[in-house]
Amino acid sequence: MAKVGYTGAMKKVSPSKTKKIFSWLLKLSIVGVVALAILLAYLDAQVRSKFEGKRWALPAKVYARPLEIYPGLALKPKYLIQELEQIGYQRVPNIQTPGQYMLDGNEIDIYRRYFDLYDASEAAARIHIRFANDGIDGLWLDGKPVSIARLEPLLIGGIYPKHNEDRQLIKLDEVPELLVKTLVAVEDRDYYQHFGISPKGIARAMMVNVQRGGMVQGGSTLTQQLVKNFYLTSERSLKRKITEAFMAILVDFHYEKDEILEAYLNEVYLGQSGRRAIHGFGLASQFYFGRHISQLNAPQIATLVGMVKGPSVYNPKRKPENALARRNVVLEVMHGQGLITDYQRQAWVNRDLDVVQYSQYQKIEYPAFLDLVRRQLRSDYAEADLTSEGLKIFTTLDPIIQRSAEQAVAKRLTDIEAGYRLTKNSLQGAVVVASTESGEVEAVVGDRNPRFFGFNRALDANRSIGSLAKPAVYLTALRSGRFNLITPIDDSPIKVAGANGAIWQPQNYDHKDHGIVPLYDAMAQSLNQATARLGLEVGLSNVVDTFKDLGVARHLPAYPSIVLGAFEMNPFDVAQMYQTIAASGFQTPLKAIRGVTTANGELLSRYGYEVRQTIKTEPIYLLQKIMQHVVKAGTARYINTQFDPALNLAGKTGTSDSQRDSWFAGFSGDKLAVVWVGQDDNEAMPVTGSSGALRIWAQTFKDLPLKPLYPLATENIVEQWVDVANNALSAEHCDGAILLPFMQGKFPANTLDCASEAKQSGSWWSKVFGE
Amino acid sequence: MLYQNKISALKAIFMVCVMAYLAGCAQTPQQALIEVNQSHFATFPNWYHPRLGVQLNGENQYTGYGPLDTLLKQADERFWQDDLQSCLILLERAQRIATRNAAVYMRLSYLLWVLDKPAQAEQTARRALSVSLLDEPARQEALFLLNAIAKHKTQP
Repeated sequence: MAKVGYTGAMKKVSPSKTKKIFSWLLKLSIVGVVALAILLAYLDAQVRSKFEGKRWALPAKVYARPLEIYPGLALKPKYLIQELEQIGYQRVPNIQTPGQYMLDGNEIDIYRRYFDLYDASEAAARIHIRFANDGIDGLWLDGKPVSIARLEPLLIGGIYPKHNEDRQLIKLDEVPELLVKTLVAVEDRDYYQHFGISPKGIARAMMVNVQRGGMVQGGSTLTQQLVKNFYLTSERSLKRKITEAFMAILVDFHYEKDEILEAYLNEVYLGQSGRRAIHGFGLASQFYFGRHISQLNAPQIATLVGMVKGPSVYNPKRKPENALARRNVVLEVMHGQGLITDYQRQAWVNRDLDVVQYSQYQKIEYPAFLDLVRRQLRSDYAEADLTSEGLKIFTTLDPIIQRSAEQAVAKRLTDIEAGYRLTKNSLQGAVVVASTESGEVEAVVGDRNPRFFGFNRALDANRSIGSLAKPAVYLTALRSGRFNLITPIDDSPIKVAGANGAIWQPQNYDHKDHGIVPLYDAMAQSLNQATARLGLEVGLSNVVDTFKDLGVARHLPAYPSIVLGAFEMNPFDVAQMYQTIAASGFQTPLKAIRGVTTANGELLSRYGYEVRQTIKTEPIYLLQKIMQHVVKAGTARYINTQFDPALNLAGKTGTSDSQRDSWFAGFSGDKLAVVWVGQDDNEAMPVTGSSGALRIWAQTFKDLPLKPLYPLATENIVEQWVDVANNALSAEHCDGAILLPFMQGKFPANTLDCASEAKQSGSWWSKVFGE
Repeated sequence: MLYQNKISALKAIFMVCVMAYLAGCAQTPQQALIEVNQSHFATFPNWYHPRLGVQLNGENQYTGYGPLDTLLKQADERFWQDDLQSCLILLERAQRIATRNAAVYMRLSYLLWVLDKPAQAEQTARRALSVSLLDEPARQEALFLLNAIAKHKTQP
């Protein structure tokens, strides 16, 4: 009954109801079509805006200085080889192509690659260098003797966007045809036939997956892979997959196959190098094989194409066994597709991966120096430009000095910790090295682990500078005209009442009083009591002015304790202050950049030589003489045991209260370096400026060439025979007379009468200040 | 075909718009590239080249073959070709090699003066003076240049 009734009910559906259902279906279809059209229009806009706009954010590339080579340059062969290895040159028995070098006794042959700088391009050329006595003796370019040549600069890092993607853009016509064919054969055989998605490919993948009982093969085309990387996330969902398919169809509809392929070749992720993500075949071929993509051979092509399936799993540097197996699978596919012969396949499957261990693109990064570069660029460039426009930044970094400084910091800190049984890694250090005359920063170390991206002590560790402040006090005295090198200074105990009733009572490091001492010796021995007294006598506001003239930008209150450095500065700012001293009163802003170009080499900005005389040459001349005495016979005399005395090095040690900070600032005729050692928690250490920072300075430069320091005299500097003990003018033949420099008219007021005394030599002066 | 042409036209319009936008957004670096609006040759004092040449290399014959001579010669060539940017860069390269050579600072100073940067020119001439104590002709040149700059600065 019920059945009949049911049948009866079915029969009762009226034509009007059917019409209604159709009407609803029609309306729904229209809504669906409109929604789909809107979706497609939206996706289309997305596809086109990214594909036709700037596709990639290209990080700025940062380069070290190009090494200038010329006869007479004091460069040891080992450092040239170090530089060549770093810039990715291969040592070979016979040079054939650019990027190679060979050794032959005292001679080195280099086949220089073509490269661009901010001022010019240097053509590929054969460079022949002959060494003699630790320096370059002869130089030839393409067989002709020349007086100067340049090597390409080391790539020292990049300024990456937040996602740290790095790539080197390539054009399709630079890519070997074999790479394109292999990629298509391995990843998407129907690439030139399908319309963005490949139903055939999907069906084939499904069959393989069903046969193997799991997800073994994907059906994504190259276009889909590009769309996924370009526009979408790696989320695994049906919605993402459908969106991907729609977008792939749209991309295929709008753009040529070659255009899509070129985008793919530049986009694909091919491994990681530290925080840097290697994208695109252009950078990958440089990174893994040290050669341009156009120069890749078939096994290298197979290795790279094999990586697409899993850049981490098949990374030839990290998982060489996996990469080798995968490369051989790709070689099989190449053979199967007729891209290589059977003989070639047989030969190549037994080949090594041929990955370069050290290449320009596998760079060592210099985080502390890069930090400085970034800060100096910030005033001229927006962050977005630095991370996306592919700018080329040519800096002043000298990788040879940088490496030496890094090693010196690591070694000395480890030695101190071992020697004093301190907790391992409790000490920290920082170094800034600059050219005294050009102001170019040549090395920066901001942490004992030089690869550490984090707190940069060279720029940000503001610490009490202790006795490094003293040269400013003595300079104030000398420039006042009231003092000369032998003016007696009282080193007896001193007490100064502060505004709040507190008593400031500085003491010498050895807790002794030294009585009356000549001015030059008070600084050489770093006597606190004498310096405090001198500072008060010349006037604290004058001392503050001298600090300003030396380039100290921060505001310093005119408190008595500033004369002993009871205020904070970072090593970089200290280096700026000492640059003014080292350059005879001519201040040059310390800079880390020479020039910036666009990705195409168009010069955007240049950072040239700037100078300003802030201190007269004469008092600086006398100060440099005192600082040479610091090295010869004062607190920095360790330096004199390590270097040729003829270099006449100058410097000043610094130790802050309770030995929380160990400093040394020293310079030669061409290099200035400031070194700091301390603990991040500001705890006291068992080291002074002499036993800590100074040793790092010495270690940094021990093996490097330095130019001798000759303080710049003027016609207003004259030498006089004097009797230091009596603070009087003397004569050459007088007992104890020594020859010292003075500013014209600023001699001791008294003259010693010693007409009958025996003639004395100026040996004391020679011993102290050199000839 | 028609569709392709339209796409191409749209692409071209889009590119023009993007380029115009980027050009509008481009910032000017603080240290702008050197631009000399009018020929600087007119500003040459008669003494410049011969005197500096005599002082340095003997009528600018460049008798030496060292790196300094090479760079100075190239810098002078660029100067006479009106390529002041390259001249400046070559002189800075020379300065890195020979940090206390008066010839380098003199040329730099003169170039800065030509580029209408009298304050920088004066400071660089002072630097030249400071490194030329033992070289009387160089000292005279430096003083001459300083005087010329001082006169130039006082002119309305």
